[in-house]
Amino acid sequence: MQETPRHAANGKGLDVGTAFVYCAEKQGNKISFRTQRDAFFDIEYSDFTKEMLTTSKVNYIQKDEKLYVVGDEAIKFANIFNKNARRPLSKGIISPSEREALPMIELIIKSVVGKPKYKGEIVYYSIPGPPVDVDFNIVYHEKVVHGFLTKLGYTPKSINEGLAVVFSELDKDGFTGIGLSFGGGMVNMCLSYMSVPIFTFSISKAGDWIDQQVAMAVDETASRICAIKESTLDLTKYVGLSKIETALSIYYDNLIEYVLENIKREFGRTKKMPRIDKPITVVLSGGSALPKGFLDRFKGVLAKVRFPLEIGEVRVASESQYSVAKGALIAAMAEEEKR
Amino acid sequence: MRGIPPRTMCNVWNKRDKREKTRTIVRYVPQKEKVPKVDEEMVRQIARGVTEGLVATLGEGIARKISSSYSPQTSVIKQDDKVQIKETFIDPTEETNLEYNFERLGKVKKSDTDVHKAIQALKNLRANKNI
Repeated sequence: MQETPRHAANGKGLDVGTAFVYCAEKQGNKISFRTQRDAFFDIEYSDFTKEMLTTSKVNYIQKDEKLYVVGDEAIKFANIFNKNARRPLSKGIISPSEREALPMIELIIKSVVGKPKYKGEIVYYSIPGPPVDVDFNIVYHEKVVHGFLTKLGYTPKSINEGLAVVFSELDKDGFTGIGLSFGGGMVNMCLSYMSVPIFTFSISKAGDWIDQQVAMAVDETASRICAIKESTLDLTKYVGLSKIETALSIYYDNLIEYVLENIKREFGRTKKMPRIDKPITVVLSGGSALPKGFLDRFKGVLAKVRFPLEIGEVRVASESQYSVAKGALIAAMAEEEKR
Repeated sequence: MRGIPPRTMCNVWNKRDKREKTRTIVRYVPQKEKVPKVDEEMVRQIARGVTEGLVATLGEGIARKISSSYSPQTSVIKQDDKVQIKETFIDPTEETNLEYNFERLGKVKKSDTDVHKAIQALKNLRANKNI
């Protein structure tokens, strides 16, 4: 590892999400995104099982008489055993109810972010905004992730998830507008004015909440619902839907309504609302904004809500799921160039 | 003896007679025992309870054996009174000692997105002291 930076194209962006961990870095003229699902599944150890996993190139961790399958395969294994995969993060922060959350998330972060190019390379990592509908704070989560990255040799700096979306998508708007990240555990919102976050908060319902509600409604596991949601869900359809698709459609509408009502209420409460002359752009991002038809559903609900700000364009980010990591990378590279 | 009413034996006997007349004699009449209807669900629940109980007892026995083999015998408390559950959890501090079959995890995707303009715009904005 080098002691000093070699060239300006350094810095990394890390999106520590409930469902996935993404790392963005510049490689030549391209941006490389590395993605890993935030999930694991434990199975009993046997020589045969271990050999089977190794042959199938399944990532695992071995500990005493247990094998922990990590990543996408964890969801597959969970579906085979008709159980739910275990998650080190819950509602955007390190899961308080998961005993093995810390070593798991440390290992996942380490294997996604890799080693720094030189000692003290800047990495911006995403953190959720203060939640408005649940009673917890993000201090512990932020400090723990900070500690992991410091241990790896980085200079870690946190960035609000919503602001990262603004950095990633609103450069042509002078970094002014609303960045919304529909993730697995939370929806994050940031109202930014010329790159300065005016108003940030998070809402504790998101993709995982949809999975859980649908799972309860149709008597399935949340892991299976998640797999269906990510592979085949089409929100442009209203007729000819299966039972699971109908439930997913209902809960997607419910989530959008909940998010917009919360934003409206929080905007109403704040005393620091900026006066912006022109209508502002809203960018939707995150894995839960990926299904086809999500934008139209969002616009449909937005039209019914009396929003306190004049909204201009509403669009989905170009690479929706990578948006936060990309924004964090922009922040990191801008800072590295100043060095 | 002013103020105290004269009490005669006659009054006393009259009162006792009245009390005896009003006393109710309760006889114990054994009632026929109600025979409950055979509820299949109940039978199933009882059977399940017995099975669960049996399993629990077996489990306790095994746990006791495990704990006694792991615990020191010098303890004053009888080992049979202790039931310990052996859990295997990864300690938060031992991440570096874990054995795993990968170096870097995850799928890699390359993107042609140009971030240079965004970086310059951000730097310019941040350099502006008015913000």
